[in-house]
Amino acid sequence: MNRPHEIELIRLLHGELPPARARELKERLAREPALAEEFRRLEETWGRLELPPAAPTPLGFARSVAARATEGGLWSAAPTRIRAAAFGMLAAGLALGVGLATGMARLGATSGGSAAAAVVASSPDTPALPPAPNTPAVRSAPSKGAEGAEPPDAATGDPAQGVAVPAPDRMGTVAPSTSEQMATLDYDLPADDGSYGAEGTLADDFWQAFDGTDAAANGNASGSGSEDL
Amino acid sequence: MLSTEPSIAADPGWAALARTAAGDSIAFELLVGQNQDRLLRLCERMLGDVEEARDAAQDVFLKLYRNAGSFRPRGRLFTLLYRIAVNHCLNRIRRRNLVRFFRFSDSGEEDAPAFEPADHRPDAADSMDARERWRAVRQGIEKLPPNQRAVLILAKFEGLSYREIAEVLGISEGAVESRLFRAMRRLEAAQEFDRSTVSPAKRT
Repeated sequence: MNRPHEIELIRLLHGELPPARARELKERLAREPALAEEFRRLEETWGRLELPPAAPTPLGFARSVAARATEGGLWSAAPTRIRAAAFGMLAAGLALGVGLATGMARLGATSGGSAAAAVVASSPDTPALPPAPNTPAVRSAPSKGAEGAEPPDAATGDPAQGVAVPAPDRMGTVAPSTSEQMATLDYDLPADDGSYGAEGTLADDFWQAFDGTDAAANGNASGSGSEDL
Repeated sequence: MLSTEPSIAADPGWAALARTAAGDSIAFELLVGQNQDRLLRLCERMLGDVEEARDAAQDVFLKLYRNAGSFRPRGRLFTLLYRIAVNHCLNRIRRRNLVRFFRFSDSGEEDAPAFEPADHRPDAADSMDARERWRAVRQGIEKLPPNQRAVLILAKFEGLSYREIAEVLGISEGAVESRLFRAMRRLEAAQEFDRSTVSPAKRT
């Protein structure tokens, strides 16, 4: 059975054929058993399509729909597209706010970390932090720290005794080193070429905080690993 | 079959819709009351679930309310309602299929609502047999592509003519008959449909 014939048979089944064409087709059905068989098959398939009666309409449906439509105020009465656009803008704003807040929080932690470490290291009651791997004192410092021995002589900054840190002032705080001062200044001032994208600037720390590769936070400025420890 | 050539003035639905657009909530309630049965039935046929059909029908009426001022009176109001309802149901079906796709589930039985038709026939055997047939038909319809499903339901269960279906779906009459033809072919080919919908007389 080809498609045009079957489409015509379906049309006949639905009563959609013009009367003249329907008469012709019925005459053909009487003459051609194959066509008649096809029609009978279609009738059977169509007749099998039966579903249970629809569930009764709940009482008060119209009233509840009308109440919902009118009681929702401006937001409920607004066309769907406007509500979708408003929702999208709200979600985008929220995502942007969360992203910015997270970035700023990480940035704050990163920039405040080195000064805090220096204060801790300079205190006479606390052991020294592990030194940077590329300094000569690195080889001897871990064993002493691990045994809980004397803290290094922070005031003298003797390389044989531990990490060289500036001496505390009268208030017990430590003045930042020159490199730290420069790093702090870099946050406020543009680089030499006038951009803020140079290494060690605010933008650099921002992206480091984002991708989790903040080498300075690990006490390893070169990022070359810790095999010396 | 429903008439397709009514004048706009003959359909009081448009006047009620105009009053709704002007803020007349009573007119809207009357409009819902006049069309709720057929819309709930259509949504139930399309979605296969009574609760989801009620949600969908409510959404359709709310869409009508929100956009009451933007519709141009043309044809019968029920055609417009059917159009909104069919599109809304098709969107729901697509969303369902999308969820199914992302869950990597081919069966579709997890997301498809359970089809448990209520039947109160006195004869338990008759009732069981009818349920079995309905479930098989429902499964056959569920497997149709959404656009073919819409055409089949409008033609078979809503009794719309090709012309009315074309108007509701915004397609040509040729497209209607083509989709219907494909739907019939698929239903015939569905093995479970053929196997489980054999009439009791044939089975014995």
